[in-house]
This record gives sequence, structure tokens and C-alpha cells, in this order.
Amino acid sequence: MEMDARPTKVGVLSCSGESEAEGTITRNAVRLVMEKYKPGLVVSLCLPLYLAGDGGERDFAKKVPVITVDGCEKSCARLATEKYSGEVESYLDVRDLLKQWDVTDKLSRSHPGKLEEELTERVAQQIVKLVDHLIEEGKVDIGGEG
Amino acid sequence: MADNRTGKDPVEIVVLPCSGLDKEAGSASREISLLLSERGVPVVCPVLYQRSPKKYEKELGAGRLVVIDGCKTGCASKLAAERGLKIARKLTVTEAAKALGVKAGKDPHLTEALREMLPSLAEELLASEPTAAPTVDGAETAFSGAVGYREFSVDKFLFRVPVSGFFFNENDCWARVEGVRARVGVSDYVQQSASDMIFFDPPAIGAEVSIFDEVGSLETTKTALDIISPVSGKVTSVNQQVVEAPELINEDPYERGWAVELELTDFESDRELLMDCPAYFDYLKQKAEREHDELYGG
Amino acid sequence: MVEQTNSKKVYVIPCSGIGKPTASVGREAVYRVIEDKRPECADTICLGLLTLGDEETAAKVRNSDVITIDGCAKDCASKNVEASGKPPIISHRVHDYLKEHRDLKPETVLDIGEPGKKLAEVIAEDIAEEIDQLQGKDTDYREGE
Repeated sequence: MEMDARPTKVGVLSCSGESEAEGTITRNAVRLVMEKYKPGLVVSLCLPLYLAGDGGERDFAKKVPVITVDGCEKSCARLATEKYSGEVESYLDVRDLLKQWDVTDKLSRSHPGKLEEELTERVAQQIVKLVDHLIEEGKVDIGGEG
Repeated sequence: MADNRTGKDPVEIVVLPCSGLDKEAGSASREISLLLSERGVPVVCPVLYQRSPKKYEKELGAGRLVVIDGCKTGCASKLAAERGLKIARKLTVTEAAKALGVKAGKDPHLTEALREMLPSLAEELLASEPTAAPTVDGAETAFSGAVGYREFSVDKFLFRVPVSGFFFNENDCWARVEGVRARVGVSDYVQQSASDMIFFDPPAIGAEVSIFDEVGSLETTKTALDIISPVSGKVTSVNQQVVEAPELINEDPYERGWAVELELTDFESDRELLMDCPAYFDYLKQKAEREHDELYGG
Repeated sequence: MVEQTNSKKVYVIPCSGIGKPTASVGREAVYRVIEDKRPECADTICLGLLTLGDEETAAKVRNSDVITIDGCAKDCASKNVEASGKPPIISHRVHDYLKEHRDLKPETVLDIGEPGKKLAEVIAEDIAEEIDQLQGKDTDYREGE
């Protein structure tokens, strides 16, 4: 990945995950990080736009560190980034995370309830940790912001 | 050949039907266009038009375009939009049938119920008046000159500003001036920031507009905004294509997405209050970097 | 005579764009179709998988009809499905529906709100009818009969 010294943003690309509950959790978690936990620092990349090759997503992903968050082991977001922009800085597989957390309940992709909301929050916090790690490593310039 | 009922010459319209062969509504579209053809209306074959657009140049230049789509897939409308044609009237067969309590089926053979409706639908199209203000055909005016652009990016967003020939106000609206006329629209920054355009409410033809007056309004999926005129003048036309398909502003904000055309009244005075392209580029770059995160969250 | 694909599922694919509430509306509309209105004959697949060439996903849509619903004029779902080699049989845009239902503007990406849900319902109803027509199941051929 080509990166100018000290980019000021972190790109986060989520899978679109329509067919899986983990996909919905993934999408919502990334949005939560962007809106609530790291506004102004995290830029969410739109996977469908990324794949369609429009909108500047791919070029942007070449210039900033990118974290991919996938709903399952198929890893669409990570594969797409590696194909079109280069290596990812770090990635999450939400299905794998849920296994680590011993989540065995059947989850809803379309009607997220309390459990899905809690899991979305936990995944968001994992993403936040990865972003903070990039800051600690000096891979992104936050200019005094946090 | 005059239309006895309306007294109008039927070649005032030209018809572009869809070519739907796989369902009843497509057959109906074809049948309506055949009825119109019997009344002297030129019919554009959509398949041939795709391959050889020049074949219908004369007909499309001579008449108001009526598009007939069999269903909401809208193939004929999309073809017209892709070719930059202005649609004066559109008929979607499934919608018209539904309004009359008839459902078009999957079998392409016409049923009696649908067949009975077709002559009256054809008559309506013959009698239809343009529903909006006249437009200036871009191919005939100086506004058709090529536009060069400069770009800058903020995060993943790429913003374009014309290199020359445009003047901007601080509301990010532009005027492209040619002689005593100007076209007015909104900048690339506006269309990206405000998101997808869904409505354009144009001003009245003949309206007198002062610089910084509102000259039409836009509604997007995110917000509503006024087009603030960078120039003073009288509204001579609006872009009917944008009225029909406001998303043209998103696709091509500086050229096909122009909104209003005015006859200028005092451009030399107005100009002193405006930014030319290089000045606007610098202004916008600073503004976008400052405001983008705050307003649009990345 | 038109060949009917009665036994095959119709795949309804949203763009699932992350940047716009209208993309969330499209996604909601798809779920209403495949889970509530036509669960026996409609389903969705992940757009990413199809576009990236996942064979299992491609095999599902290969002999089936695909309907797409895009959240904006970029038409990513329609374009990506077409690029996979299987053009959608019908493409929708959420904002075309917004033009007809100006009062149903969705609220946010994460929560489209009641207006957004109503808009999703309108879209889902249309898609359900289209699925019936594609599957040759349109038994209510004319209203009132």
C-alpha cells in the first residue's frame, strides 16, 4: 500500500453481508465506530462502490491504513482490498470473534435485537482497539485528537 | 397530416417505445406505438437506435419525445436518458393499466382487457402538451463547448471545479456565461455533500432574478436547498431533463446538470461579487477540508 | 412461449452501501421480501461474494432471475451483478421511490426510522409482485376477478 508519511485518516471497509447475521453486525459496528467512537478519524469505505470501481474508494484506500471487517471467513472486504488497493493493516472476522466469545444463539440479519446490538457494540470496540493500535504505532497522524 | 380531433400536427411528437418481447406490457408498448404510427407519428426502434443513433437524428430533432415503457424497468426511458434526449411525456403501461384495474401478465400475447385500453392511451399521448417549460437544446447553443476540470480530494471524495468559463458564489452555485446568457447550477461539492437529488422545483419562466435570489430549489435524500443565483437576469428556460431526472445533477453537475438559463441584465456588476474558477478552486479546497468531516462524517 | 423459471428462486440483491440511509432502506426492503413476503421463492446473496467470483454464490444465481435494488444513482448492485456475468432482470433505485413518496425520507444509516420502514415496505411490495410475475404465479390476473 502506498502511503504518504502520516496519513490523517484510517479507512475501515466492512463487508456488505446481506445474507448473514454477522454481516449486519459488521456493517453496523463499522458505522458505529465512524459516527460515535472515532468521528473524523475513521472513514468508512463502501464495499459495493469499491467493487464497482467508482467514487475514489480504491485510491483513498491506497493512501491510508485500512482495516477490514468481515462477517465471515469468506472475507470479501479483505480480499477486495488486497485485490484493488494493497495489503490491509489489520482485519477482523466477526464470525470467528463470535466463536471466541462463545456466542451460540441464532442471530437475526434483518431484525437485530438486544443481543445483536450488544454484539455490535463489542465488535465496534474491537475495531476501536485496532484503530488505537495504528495510532500507537504512529501509522496515522491524529494531530492531538483521539 | 393533421390530427382531426386535436387539430395538431401529429409529427410534433416522436415515440420511443421499449422493445419488451417477454411480457404483455412490452407487447402493449409496441401496439401503442403502431397505433401512433398509423396517425403519422414517427416511431424510433430502440434496438436500431442503440446500434445506429444517427438514423433517427432528424426525427428526434423535429418532435417532442414521448417514451413508452412497458414496465417500471424503464428500458426506453433509460435509453433516452443515456442518449441525453429530453423526454416530454412518459407512459408506463403497467402503471396505466393498474390505474384502470388491469394487470399486465407474463404471457406476451395481448389479452382483450389490455388491448381495449390501448387506443385511448394512444389518444392521450397524441393530445398531451409539454408538461414543463421550454428548454434550450444544448447542441444548438454556445453552452455545448467542452469543459476542462481541476480536481482535489478530501478523504475519499474527489471534487471537480471547471478550469474556466464559470463564475461561483459562496453558496457553491455557478453561472456559465455566454454573451448575454448564462446557465446556472450547483457545484460538484454541493451534489456530493447534499447526496442524491430527487426533486428539482424550477422557477417560473420570465421570472426576474437578482443576484443572490433563489432560482429554483432542490431536494435530496438528505436535505433541501435553494439554488442561489450568481447572476441577475430573466429566466428564459429550465432544464427539463433535470426536472424529470434530478440525478443528472449528481452525474454531471456542470454540464448536463445545468438547472436554469437566464438572460443577463447586469453581469459586469455581478461579476465583481463572484469568484472565477481559480479563485473558487482555492476557496472550495479550504472549505471542503474544514467542513467536510464536520458535516458529513467521512 | 416464454420460458418460466417457476422452480428457481429469485435472488433479490441490495447494494448495502454503508454511506447512505437509502442503502439501508434497500436492504430492509430485501429482507421484507425474502423473509416475510416470499420466503419460499426468494432469497438474497452477498453482493461482495458474487462480484469477487465466489463459485458457490455464482452457481446460485446462474440459472435464476436477479432483481437488484440500489441505494443511489451509482447503481453498484446493478453494475456489480452485471459485471459478474448475470445482468439483473429488474433494477430498482430507492430514490425513484422517494420521488413518488416524498414524505418517506429515511432517517439515518443505522436507523431508517418509521418513514424509512414504510418506504421499504412499498418497495418490497413491488418486488414481491415482480417475483410473482417472474415465477408465473400471478393468479390475480385482473383486479376483481
